[in-house]
Amino acid sequence: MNAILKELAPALQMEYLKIRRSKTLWLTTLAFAVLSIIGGLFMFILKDPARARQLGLIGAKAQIFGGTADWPSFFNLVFLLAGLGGLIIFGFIFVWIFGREYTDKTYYDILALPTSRITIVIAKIITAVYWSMALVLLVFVLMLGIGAALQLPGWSLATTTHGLELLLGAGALTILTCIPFAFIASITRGYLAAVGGIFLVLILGQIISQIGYGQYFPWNIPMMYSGAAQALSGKTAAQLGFVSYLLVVLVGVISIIATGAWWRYADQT
Amino acid sequence: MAATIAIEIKGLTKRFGNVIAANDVSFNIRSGEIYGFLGLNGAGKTTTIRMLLGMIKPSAGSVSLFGIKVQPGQRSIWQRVGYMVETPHAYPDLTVRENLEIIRRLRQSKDADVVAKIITQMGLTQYADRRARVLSLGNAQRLGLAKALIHNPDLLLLDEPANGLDPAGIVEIRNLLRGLAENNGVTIFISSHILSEVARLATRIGVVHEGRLVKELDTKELSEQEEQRLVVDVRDIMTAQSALRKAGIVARSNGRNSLVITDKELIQNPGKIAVLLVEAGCPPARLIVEQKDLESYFLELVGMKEGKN
Repeated sequence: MNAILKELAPALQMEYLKIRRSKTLWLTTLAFAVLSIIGGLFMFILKDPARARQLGLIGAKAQIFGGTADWPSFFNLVFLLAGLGGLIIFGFIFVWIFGREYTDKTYYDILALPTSRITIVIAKIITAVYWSMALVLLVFVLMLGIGAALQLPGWSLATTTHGLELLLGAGALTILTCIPFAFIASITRGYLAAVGGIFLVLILGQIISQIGYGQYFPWNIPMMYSGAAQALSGKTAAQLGFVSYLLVVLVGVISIIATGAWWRYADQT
Repeated sequence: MAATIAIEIKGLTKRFGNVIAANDVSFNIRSGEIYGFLGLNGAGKTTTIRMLLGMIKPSAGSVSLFGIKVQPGQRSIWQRVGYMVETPHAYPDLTVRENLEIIRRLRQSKDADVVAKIITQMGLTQYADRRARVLSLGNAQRLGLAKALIHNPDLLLLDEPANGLDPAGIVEIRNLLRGLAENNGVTIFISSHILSEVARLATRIGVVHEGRLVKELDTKELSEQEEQRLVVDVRDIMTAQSALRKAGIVARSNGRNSLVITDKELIQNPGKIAVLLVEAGCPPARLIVEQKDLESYFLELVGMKEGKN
């Protein structure tokens, strides 16, 4: 165990150095900040549509439906935005961390070292998890700030704590479902196919949800868990059973094993 | 005491579908040798280097470095090995110093000063804080070499290390590598498609063509290939050869209407041959001193004439 940690620490430092200098870090942060701001903007409009019209934020004849300007609605809206955005952005984080080694052809440098390839894969996954969870927390903090600035009614500690639990839970489930994109980026040696995979599961998720099996499609489960799917497909967390969660965990675990095996055993031409 | 074997390759074969990139390649390299691995583009050099580094699994055969078999999960050996595969690449958004810092950490070196030392040694001081993406090809090559050398390896595996370097840089790197082999006993395996470059550095050369090791030569055999020879074109080759033999001169036929003489004294004095042949009634149609260069020797070895297959 000590030996693994001894190897893992420098591998994690290496990943940290790489992301700290990348534009991707700032782009993903910006994307998640924008999601929170869009949520806030909707709340601002809902709170006083007449004022929003006056400010030109919405058209003069626009009708605003579907919610009230309060904390529970704000949470639901952010769950929806973060649910969709999370799959795309977390997916891209995994794709970038693994795919860039192939696109930049730096993978040669990390294949024949005293630090094992498995350790490097684990360090990359841990980095992607930390990065994604940091974005979840960023959304939460921004949400609290925006909600407070808008003086939204209905705040309670219980609502906020529950909101944080759902956000973290949905974030963790989303992260598990994004690990396969690291595997795709590795076996296809780049970004393109893996990014295509992200959009494919988004589309498939809608179709599978419509035919009534959304609870068995791992990429749909995080949004069902947070309640965000209800607005899109009417699916709720109540429909999720043990099998649904098991599927998400299996997708994550199998992808970690497959990615590790690929880096260790596959021909790196 | 017999030198230890740094690299042992036995029956190394790699197939990619129907393509055989390396075909039953076997050779040993002793510690402290500089081995030039020479071949045209696509001859199988890079595939062999990747198999040496465990990046590609052989379809058959094996590689051992310092007696340890290269296989998945075997990583203790890499502490003793530095390498550079193909054109060197680095993390473009990181500086030269940061790129080296990453390799230092992954090589689990506790000595933080090695980064500064290798930057100085490789002449990268003025570029240390520049991002890798803005480096010239020559400096990117230096960075690649710095990554390979940062941990003072016992074995260096270098794929075309002179690529992109200017003439001064080539000489500098050559001297550096020679110094590492002579002073520190570092074994160097260097691939190239430029024979003259490898010939200046290597103590032994292996020529690879279409995946096969077609010839191994040491420095002495190689320098013999550079020697001058006297080529004499005659109409009646049998009579000419007989006349020269009577005079105690060895002249071999090159298979065409020419005789080849390698005696150094005669090469300095070709008139003697002309007189002998005129007296024998078969005057030479042409008499020329040729300098056989290494490139044409190499092309001959791989079955190609200059410009022709």
